[in-house]
Amino acid sequence: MTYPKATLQEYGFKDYSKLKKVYSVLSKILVALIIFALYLPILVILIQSINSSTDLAVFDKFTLKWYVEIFKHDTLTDVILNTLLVSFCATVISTVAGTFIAVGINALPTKKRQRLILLNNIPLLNADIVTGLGIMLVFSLLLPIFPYIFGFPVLLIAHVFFTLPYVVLSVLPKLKEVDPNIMDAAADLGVKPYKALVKIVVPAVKAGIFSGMLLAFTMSVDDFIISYFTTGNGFDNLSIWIYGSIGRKSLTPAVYAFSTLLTLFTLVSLLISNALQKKGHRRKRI
Amino acid sequence: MNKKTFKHLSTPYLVWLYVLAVVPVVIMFALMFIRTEGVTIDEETSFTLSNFAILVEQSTIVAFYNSFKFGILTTLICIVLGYFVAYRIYKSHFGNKFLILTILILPMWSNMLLRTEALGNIMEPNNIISNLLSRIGIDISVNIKGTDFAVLAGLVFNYMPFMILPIYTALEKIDPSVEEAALDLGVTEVRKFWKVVYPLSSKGIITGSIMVFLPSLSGFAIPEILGKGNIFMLGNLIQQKFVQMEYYYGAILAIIILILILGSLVIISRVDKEAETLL
Amino acid sequence: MDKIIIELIDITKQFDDDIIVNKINLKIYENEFLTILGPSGCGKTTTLRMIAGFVVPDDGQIIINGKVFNDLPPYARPVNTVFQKYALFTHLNVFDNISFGLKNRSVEYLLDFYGKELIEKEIRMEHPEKDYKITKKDINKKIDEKISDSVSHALSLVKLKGYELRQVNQMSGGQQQRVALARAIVNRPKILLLDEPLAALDLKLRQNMQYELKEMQKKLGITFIFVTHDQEEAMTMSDRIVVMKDGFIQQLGTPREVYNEPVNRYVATFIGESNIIPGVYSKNKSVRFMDVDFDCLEYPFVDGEAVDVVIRPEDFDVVPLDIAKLHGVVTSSIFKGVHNELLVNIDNVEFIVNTYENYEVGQPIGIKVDPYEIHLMKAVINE
Repeated sequence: MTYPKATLQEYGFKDYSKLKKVYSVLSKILVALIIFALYLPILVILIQSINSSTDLAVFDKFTLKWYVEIFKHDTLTDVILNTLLVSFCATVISTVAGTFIAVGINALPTKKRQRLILLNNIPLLNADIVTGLGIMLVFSLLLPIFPYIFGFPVLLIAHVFFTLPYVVLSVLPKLKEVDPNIMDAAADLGVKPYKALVKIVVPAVKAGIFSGMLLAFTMSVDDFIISYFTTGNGFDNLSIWIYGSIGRKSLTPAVYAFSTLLTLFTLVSLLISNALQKKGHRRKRI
Repeated sequence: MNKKTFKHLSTPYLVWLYVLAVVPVVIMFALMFIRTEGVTIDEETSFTLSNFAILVEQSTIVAFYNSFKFGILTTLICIVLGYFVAYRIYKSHFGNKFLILTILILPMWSNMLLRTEALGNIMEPNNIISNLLSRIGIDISVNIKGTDFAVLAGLVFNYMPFMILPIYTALEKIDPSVEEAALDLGVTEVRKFWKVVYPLSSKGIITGSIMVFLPSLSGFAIPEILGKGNIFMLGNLIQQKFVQMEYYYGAILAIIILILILGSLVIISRVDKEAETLL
Repeated sequence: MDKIIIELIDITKQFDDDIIVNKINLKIYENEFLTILGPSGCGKTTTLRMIAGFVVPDDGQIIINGKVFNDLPPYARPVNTVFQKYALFTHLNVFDNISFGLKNRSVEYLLDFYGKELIEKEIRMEHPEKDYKITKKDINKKIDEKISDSVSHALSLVKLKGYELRQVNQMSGGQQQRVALARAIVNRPKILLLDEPLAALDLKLRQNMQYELKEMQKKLGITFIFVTHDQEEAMTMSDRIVVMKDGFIQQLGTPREVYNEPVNRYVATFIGESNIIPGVYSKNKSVRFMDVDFDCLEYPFVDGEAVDVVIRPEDFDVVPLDIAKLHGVVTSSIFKGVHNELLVNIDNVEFIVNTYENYEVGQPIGIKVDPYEIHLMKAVINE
């Protein structure tokens, strides 16, 4: 027995399937366009980095010489090293401290925890300019005692200040997923709390630690405004140097090469970490 | 977690935050009332309210107007475009959403100044892209550097990822069977979005808006590079005044920005208590 | 003879390489409480979701009220669903949740729903002026009133009167489940689908809800299609049970039929406890097992055919040893409240026997069973 097909109309609905198809295609195009717009600048940077001409408006020949120039150009190498030094130290400090702080916050009762999270959000949400100025003002007070404090020390403190919240916010949600009984189980088995922390909790949240670390490094390496106000004594980082060199001859295309390299490096690290995570999941299923 | 043992791990952090986040505010607050060169206090400094006169100066008013204009416009455009992108990713059937998100964040890993400068580069008539395109016969010439549009475009595309991510996080948190329930109850897809999905993702929109609005109104690099000095915002003004050692001027403006930030913090703490969408 | 309201014809669904639902044929009647019963992965939830419209069948036809509904989205189907995890709208309060379906319908639909004449009559009663012209505002206001009434009525049906303004995430699991139920039935669907709605509740609450759901179904006079893995639940509430396994329907029947006359070993063991022993059927209405002949009912088996004998533990009677048909020794005795569950060893075969009296471990015991309590199934080598 064949039955008639029910239609949308008889239930009071209009058939928009053609419109839906059009919308589907259009929306894909729009998303692609937006993503292209997001990538346009780094595309330009990529092109400049392989452009043999220093004239930013003309493309001469394909070359990789700027990638070598990174290491030969004195000023650039200096600022890059400065940047990497500060960012690396800040990231390490933030990651370690941030993890422990997250554990501490997680152990607090709700009201206190939410208050500390609120305070933790301040460096995150605070305008760079206010943070930079703020730290500068605080340490200006110390100038009479430590005349050379500006430069690496204050810069490092400033970077730790604004990267810590990222680590905390990355680790906290993963901590919440950890079974709260796990510490009790460890204690039951005779393991001391801090040892249990390092051996059990840290591996359990390592995804959060890793993403927090990555985030911290990214924000630190790319920072401009905060570094601008908190550096001193000639300790320039990459962003400050670029700011000073824009539009001038001193801006060597080698810096484009460096930027491209850095982008590629972080992309590859992320892809590797993602692949490793997937492997871990697969192992868990078996 | 064994609460007793670890409760005190976060106390040093509390102190650190107070010193580096709260003390500066106190200093800036004090600076509003003194007229000094730098942070020195000598016999001649006195408490004064005359500093607040700067609020009615031409440059201040222009800076405020520009900052809010660009801040609000950027945020609105980012909400529309950003929500769209976040929603399409959410609805997509990609196996690896992580990869898509990575693609979104990738631009943030190159230096912001370089990116802005590169963007400015192609906003001028003779630039490297038009140079390349002319070799294959396409002639395009744009001259938008220095215009409002240039600064707006720079702001929007620089901060767009900050809007997309919180919205995406909020969307992912929605229980998928809630959407099915809406369909089951007789609601079509469009209505379902406005009545169910959109309200449940509002946390992300608010967080995203704050993450876009605050930096756009207070930054100074993008307006300076893409505006060719024509567009003057709060960030530029503060930077200028601090360089000129007129600290009181910068402090007053900074405090005003701080008040805005505090307001946002209150909003976020109400809307997203455990800061889930912040990253 | 009840009318068929839903018919599934050769319904098949495949995900990747797994055939989840395998050519299912099912006729569902109006006003019946039908339960689809089976373990996880047997295809019961997928079948339900295909009726609801969330999953499109790869093959076959879903016929509702005589029309093919395969391609229609869920919102166009005369079906409402109660979800396993309730799926309540957390940004709305109880009233808004329940009224969601009605409030989002067009005015034409609602006029039809409540009856155009009734609405117009009631408006005219409120405006007794001669030749009063009914405005859109009047209609909308009256419809809103009607919706409020419907919501109140639904709330009192689920015993949550007065909870209109509560926020749903401040309610207990049992309350949320009742809100989900109210949200579905307020739309007066002819068919209600329930996807393991009681799974997350504790035992006492679940038993209460089972009773209430059954009462509600009778009162509302609509078809309930209930999915569960809990066979006791199925037995308690259903008019008919569909037992599914691996995408196939194993048996369709009333609780009594499924319990007393399971068609295969799977159904026999899935529902309740049973003893299954190999035997041989004889044409003179008897079956031989454990080397003893027992009288039984007539079956369409061939004389001398191998069969599986199914006897429920409670159908065994304990009798004095001299008149017993089977003799064994009690190896275990567990007190289960209402009865004792004994394990009896008869010639090295273990039997489960339920008795009211207590028997000691090691005690020799004699049992017999009445002919109509012996159920025979075709012996299958692999199951």
